[in-house]
Amino acid sequence: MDVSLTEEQRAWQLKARKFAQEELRPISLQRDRISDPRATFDWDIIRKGSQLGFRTAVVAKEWGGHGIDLVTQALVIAELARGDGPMAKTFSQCWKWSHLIAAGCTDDQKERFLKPFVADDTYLLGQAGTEPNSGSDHRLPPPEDPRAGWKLRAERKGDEWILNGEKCFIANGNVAKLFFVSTRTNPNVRQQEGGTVFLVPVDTPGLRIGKVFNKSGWRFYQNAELIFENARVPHANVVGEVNGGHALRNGPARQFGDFELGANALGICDAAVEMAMQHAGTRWQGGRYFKDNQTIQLKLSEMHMLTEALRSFVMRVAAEGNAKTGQYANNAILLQNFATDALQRVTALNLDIHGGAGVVMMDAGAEKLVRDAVIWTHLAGDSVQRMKAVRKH
Amino acid sequence: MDVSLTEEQRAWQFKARKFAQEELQPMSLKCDRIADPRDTFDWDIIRKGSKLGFRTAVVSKEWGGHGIDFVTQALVISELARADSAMAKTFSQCWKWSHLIAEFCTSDQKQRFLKPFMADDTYLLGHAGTEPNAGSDHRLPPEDDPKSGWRLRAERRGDEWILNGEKCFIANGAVGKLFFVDARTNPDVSIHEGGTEFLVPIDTPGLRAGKVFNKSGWRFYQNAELIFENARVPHANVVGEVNGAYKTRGGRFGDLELSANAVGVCDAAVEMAMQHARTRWQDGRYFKENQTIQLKLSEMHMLTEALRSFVMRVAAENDDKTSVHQSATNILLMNFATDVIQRVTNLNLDVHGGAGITMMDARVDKLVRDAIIWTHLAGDSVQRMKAVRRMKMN
Repeated sequence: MDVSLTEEQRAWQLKARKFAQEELRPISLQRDRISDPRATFDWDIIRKGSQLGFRTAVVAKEWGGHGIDLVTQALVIAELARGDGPMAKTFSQCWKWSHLIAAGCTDDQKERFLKPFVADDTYLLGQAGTEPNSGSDHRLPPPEDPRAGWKLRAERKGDEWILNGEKCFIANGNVAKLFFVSTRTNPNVRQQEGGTVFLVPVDTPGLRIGKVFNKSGWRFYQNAELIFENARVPHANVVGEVNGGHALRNGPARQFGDFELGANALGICDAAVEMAMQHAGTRWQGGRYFKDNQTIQLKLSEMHMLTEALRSFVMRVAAEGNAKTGQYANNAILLQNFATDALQRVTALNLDIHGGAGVVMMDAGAEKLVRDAVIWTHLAGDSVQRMKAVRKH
Repeated sequence: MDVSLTEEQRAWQFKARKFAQEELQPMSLKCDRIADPRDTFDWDIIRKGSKLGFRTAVVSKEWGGHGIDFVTQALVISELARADSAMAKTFSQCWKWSHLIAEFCTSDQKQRFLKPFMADDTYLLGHAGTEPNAGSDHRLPPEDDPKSGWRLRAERRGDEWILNGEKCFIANGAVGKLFFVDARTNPDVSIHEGGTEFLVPIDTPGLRAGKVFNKSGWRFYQNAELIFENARVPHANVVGEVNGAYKTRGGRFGDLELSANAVGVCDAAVEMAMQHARTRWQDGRYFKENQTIQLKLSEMHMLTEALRSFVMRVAAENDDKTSVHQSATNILLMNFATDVIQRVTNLNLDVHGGAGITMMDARVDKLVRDAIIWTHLAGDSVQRMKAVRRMKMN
């Protein structure tokens, strides 16, 4: 057991903290308030962050990245999320699929996709899984039902695959240059045996972007429709094996995704605790500061408690990931469930402590944190995500 | 960051696991069910555990102990508590005051008390703070009120102090051979300035043990009254300085100890619930095939792993003198342990249904009863406010 950080880990943490404070936080509320969901995005932040290495941080050094370990990834995500949750997620979304590239792509594919990704500050990555009729059932598909799961069809014609169908709520959907698209290559068997993942650049003929969804929280983060009408994808873009898509999704990228949301939640909790302490220490009412009320102290105490519990859990799972202990994958699921509970409770308590100032006044930022936390219900803490953890036992 | 254990830590963990499974677990329900609270205790368990080193584990090697670090302490407590929380606590209660001896006692005091403690397998330690009219207000006493806090009076007569008053709910009260007793040496000032701690052997003239309290949980663990009637304690038994008792309190170990103990109880609850859900057949399927059961099991696992992460982090931070560790974090940990142990043991009760609630054989209700004491020891409102107030002072 050792809780210390290396010099390199600390350096990344401080770099992320500085970037978050100086660049993310000043525009956080501003971007959140823009009503058109397409206009909330800001390329300038991406470019600046990319130049500091945040976009390509987990790509291996031999491919021109920084190859930071999981502990460093946790530290950086938490620091960025403390500045702005969805901006942090836009960067770490690229890490998620960098993990998949490293684990599942051929050298030829790395040559064709990883190189341009590393070279271009505005090259973002995405993954297209969810469909209008395939949500949580491709996360936990019924074991023997061919009708459950992805329906986007891919059929082989010579050296190409023809893709038809629709994906929705796709993260980085209208800003990414490359997607990992999950498709059905055999509709007569269950998804576990009939799903294939393709590398699909956004300029693929037959692929277009539909609407951008208007979300209650994480407004900076872009979720869009992707529509495939006879989209032509070369066979060389199959990731792993044909009909091996399901296994791929449950590999390293999925595990990172569970973990990533835990670290992001930690950053938002830190922001909420900071705001609440600040408010309680300065607001004067009824002849005393807010912090001198016992009920306020109990709320602050619970916020600190859950945040520190979450930090302990995040850092432990990160260290387990680095050490390649078998516990990592399963604990990562439990972690994201816990992150959901902790984050939603902590941001709600912050709102509570702010009273009218938090609920009514958007300037305070307290309600933004609550809205940002809502998405964890779906991504990390719904019943499916919770049952999944225990079914592995 | 590194989550691996050393060979030595692992060895202690396995030794504790073996002792817990082979000796504590078989006795756990048996002792719990004895109606007279004085009879729930078992000296045989203490002797066996002591011979394996569990009683003296944190005493430094130079004094004949094992000097295990905080990480090892957390591992051992969890393993013992997995079999029986109250038995684990009886051993670790000795550790708590071993920490205090190491930090504050003089060489002469160590010679007089630590040596016999080491030599005698039945020598247990205790601490006497709580009084009938001084409970949570000596934990978080009003800043300037001389009337709050300990009232047990100590007055100096030559080389002796004369102690008068009563302590209650004192852990190991009926079985300890030595107590750290908090007394009021100056009743005209606040407890911060007028409290003194004394080393008081149980055979001190004028000291006697009163009733043993009948508890809903932790029944093996003895909590008793200590009654002081002109009890005579030599001046050489003052711990630290006269009127300096408050400085000797606030050791971090107690917070960690309760949290590590909670991990063990949670592990036991998770194990029982999984076992039950896998084997109970109802309505054409195993319990574990029901989604509602899965959600409950999932929450139990989740909270247990969150707690384990928090415990091991705090243990490691306490071992690493260079880490930026705030003492408030220990308090937050024990608050969290309270919420987790009570939720997890209740979910276990829920998963067991009638078998858990009505049938005492299942041991399910015992875990719930054992978990109740955390409310007072680790998670009441005072314990929660303390964390925040400490942060503000930092």
